[in-house]
Amino acid sequence: MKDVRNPFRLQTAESIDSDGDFLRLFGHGVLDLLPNDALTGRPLFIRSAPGGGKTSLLKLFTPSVLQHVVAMKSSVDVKDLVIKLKSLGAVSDHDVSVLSIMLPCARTFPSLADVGLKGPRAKRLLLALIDARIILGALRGTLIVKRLRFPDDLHRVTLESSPDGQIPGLLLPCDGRAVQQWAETVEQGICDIIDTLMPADGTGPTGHDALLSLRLLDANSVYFDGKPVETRWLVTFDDMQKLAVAQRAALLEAVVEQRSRSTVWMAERFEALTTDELLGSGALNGRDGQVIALEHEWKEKRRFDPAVRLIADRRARMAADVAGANAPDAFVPTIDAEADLDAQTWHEKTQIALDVVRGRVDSLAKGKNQYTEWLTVRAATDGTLREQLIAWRSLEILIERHSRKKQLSFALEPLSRDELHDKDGSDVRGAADLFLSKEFGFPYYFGFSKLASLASYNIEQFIQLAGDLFEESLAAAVMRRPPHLTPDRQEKILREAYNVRVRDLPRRARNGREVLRFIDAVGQFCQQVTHQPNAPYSPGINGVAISMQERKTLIDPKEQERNPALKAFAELLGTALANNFLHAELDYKVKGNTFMLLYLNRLLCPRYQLPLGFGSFRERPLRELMTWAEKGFRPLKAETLL
Amino acid sequence: MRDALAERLLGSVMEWSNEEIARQRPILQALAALKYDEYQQFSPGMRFVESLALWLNQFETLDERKIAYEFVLSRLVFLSQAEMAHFAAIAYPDVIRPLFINKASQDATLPPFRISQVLATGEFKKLEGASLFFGLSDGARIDLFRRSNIELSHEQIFTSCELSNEKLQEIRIWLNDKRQHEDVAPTLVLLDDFTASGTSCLTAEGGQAKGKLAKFISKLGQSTEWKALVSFPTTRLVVVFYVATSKALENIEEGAEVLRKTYGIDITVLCVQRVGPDLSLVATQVGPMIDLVKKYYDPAAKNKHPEWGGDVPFGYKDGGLPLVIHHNAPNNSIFVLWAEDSEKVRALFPRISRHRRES
Repeated sequence: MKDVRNPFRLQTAESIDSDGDFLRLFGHGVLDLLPNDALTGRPLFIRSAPGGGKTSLLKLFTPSVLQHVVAMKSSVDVKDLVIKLKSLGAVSDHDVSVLSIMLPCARTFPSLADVGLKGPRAKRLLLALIDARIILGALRGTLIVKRLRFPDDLHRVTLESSPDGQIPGLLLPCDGRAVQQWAETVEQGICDIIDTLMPADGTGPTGHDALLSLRLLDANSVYFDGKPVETRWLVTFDDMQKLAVAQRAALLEAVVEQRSRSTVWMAERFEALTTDELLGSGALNGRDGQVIALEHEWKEKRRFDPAVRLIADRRARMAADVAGANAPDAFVPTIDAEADLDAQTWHEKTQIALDVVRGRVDSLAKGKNQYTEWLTVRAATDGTLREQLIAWRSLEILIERHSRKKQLSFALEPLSRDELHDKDGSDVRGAADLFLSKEFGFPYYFGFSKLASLASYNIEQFIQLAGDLFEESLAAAVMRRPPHLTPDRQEKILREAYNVRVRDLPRRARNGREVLRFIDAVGQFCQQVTHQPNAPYSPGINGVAISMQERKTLIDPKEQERNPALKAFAELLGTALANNFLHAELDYKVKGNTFMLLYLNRLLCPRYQLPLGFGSFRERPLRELMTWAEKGFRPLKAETLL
Repeated sequence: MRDALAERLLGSVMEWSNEEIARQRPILQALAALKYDEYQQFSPGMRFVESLALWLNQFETLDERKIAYEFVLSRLVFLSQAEMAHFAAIAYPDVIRPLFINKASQDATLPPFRISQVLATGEFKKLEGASLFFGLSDGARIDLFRRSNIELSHEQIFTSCELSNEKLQEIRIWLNDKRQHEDVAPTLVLLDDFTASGTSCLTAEGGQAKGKLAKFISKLGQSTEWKALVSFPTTRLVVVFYVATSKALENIEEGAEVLRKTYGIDITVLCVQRVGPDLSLVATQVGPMIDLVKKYYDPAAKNKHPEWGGDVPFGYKDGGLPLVIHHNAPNNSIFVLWAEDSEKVRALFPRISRHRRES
């Protein structure tokens, strides 16, 4: 196994060399996001921001990896994975049940688009190239699962003819070598078109008007040693965002219209979508296919935490296997072991804060009879020093809230302890916790649960953050020091990660600077609203919302034509969503209205001292958001905050 | 496992916090993996991080260690095997061939920018086909040079210029028969890997040319077989170094001027990668690393190396280079880097000298 100092730095499926290592590191939780008929049903569109885990998911189903799974089935590393794959019908006890052909769209297709051929010709060539790769991939996969060599053993595979499955230039039936030759001729012909400096219309292969390869697969035309290969076929397209717009549309049309029995998965980043699609539901007609937006699915199914916990522990175990005693063998304990602000080391700071807060509460309540009962209850509170501090800070918030209410009567009877109990909910305590961290410098963003939240449902983001933390644990282990990170150290590392993540956005995205300005404005707005003495939206907000009506205006082509600023803002939002800086939810119902919510990527929250939960937002008019994008955020006057 | 021990030692020596170790480890491991572990004069089992830890440990104060560490990260130049091989591979297409193109364009009275036309001329074909290439030392990597330039024949490339008379005669016959070239070779190209001061190669002393090259030129004039192949000024002499300091090139140029005047030799001195003067540490400069170089020097080491000509805290001929080559550290670099035969100073990249005092 390659000597890897920090396995968290192996971030992409492409950078992990061996199938064994891939499986050791693979977190199978993502399989819970797939529908039960993922391998037998309609086309599946797998979408996410960069680093969502799409390629790893597709790679799992490749023949060599599935074979490895079957071979390792009794190993504890893949036991749970085998169960899930069996339930999907991908493997049986002894065999691989699905043959996958994985086509990366980054290779050759974009160059073909650059040639500038007319629409129909470009489409025909694209489909011809895809057909060549699918058919050859099918033969290669067949040999792999038979444990034979490609291309040496191609003579044992044949492609039989079928009524629907005729391929121009390929005389069926024929053996694998003839297929290889045909496929290479098609590739070469298309590469010649790409390479030529002369006009290319009319030259090269004739092309195909549909995905003829799928018809052949549907007709069970692949034979091995004279017998049909009895398997389920899965064709996966990775990185579809690399295709030109017309290519993507042509491929989608071909797949959807063909309604092949062979399953097709298409993986793409959100950046492949148009602005309308990004700001839309992204749903397809039910018959056309199903969309799996990975971040959305993680959130809805509440499977993210256990999934990333597994990923993290596997990577830590790999580090320990390599480095022995010089690496911790589990990840979660390194950040949870000391994640306790009740520890002795915090007592002094906590006591100081408690004295300050109590003093403030006493001043607030001084001479006000209505709070005497509350104060008495609070003074009698048991619990650790930290618990007392949070209780007093919560009380301060509640007193602030109450004192801002217009007096409904002159009766200033003491508010009862039951009223205190009713009002002192977890949201208020959450706000208290957050306010204390801002005021007194207590760490807030630490521990595994917060780390998982900070990942914003993106696997790569989680691995990057965890990798930063683990690097320091490794350093401690090398020095034979305890590998556990203190809460303040964790928070410092995670705050630095924000800078790294956003720094290169202007380079990555066309309107990156404007996006940064806008999300900064959103962050500042959320900060101002959250950190008010009365915590009106406890525990705080971390997103904004526009009405669905305004969203409709935003994506209306006629409105965009009338108002170019509207179009620019829509594109800005598209970039922010595509790069996972914002997370959108549609049709959120509140008080009889529906909204489109725009949550900040959780990694942005520490910068503005915001909570990490979902469900907290403020609605703003679209024009105000557009002003933020143009001019940045202007702090609101106090009376407009409520 | 040993890497972890070395890193632990380094962390202790530098008194690093966990945060600092987390920052430095990836850098050090990358440097070691990319280049520094391939240094060929480490003792068996020794690798870069361990050597670095032991080297830093000799400095008395933490401040000195930090200065030395920062020096290694930011100023040390390490020429790896891959880089030297790359220089050997590009020496002909990037340095020598443009010279041929220029000369051929003059001879054919064509503008030098009409490359295709110049390449098609008989003048260029004669230059490329009948010139002879010789290595001046092992470091010239003639094997790589030969394999990288398929347009040159193996029969015109030689690992050394110490050839027997029989071999020289064979070359002459080959030129006549295979290249239809009966005149002397149009160009004699001499290749070497590295020169820091230039003095061993060629220099001017008291109006006389001295050095390896001067001896070679003198020998050419006394050998019938050589004279059949090479005749100055008809034959142009081109000396190419893969890596050379500016100072070395100046010294060699002075010697070359003497050769031009004395023998009428058309001599051109070139390098693939120049090492500029601003890289070197100079004794008259002021700075913490300069102080360190002066402090951590062992005068007793020179007793075993009379060829140094005296004390060399800043290296032979005060080269002051912060430079190491993968197969051996040159003695023109600062002493504290290579510290040969010293009981007092430990080397980071120990040097093995060609010149050993006979006991």
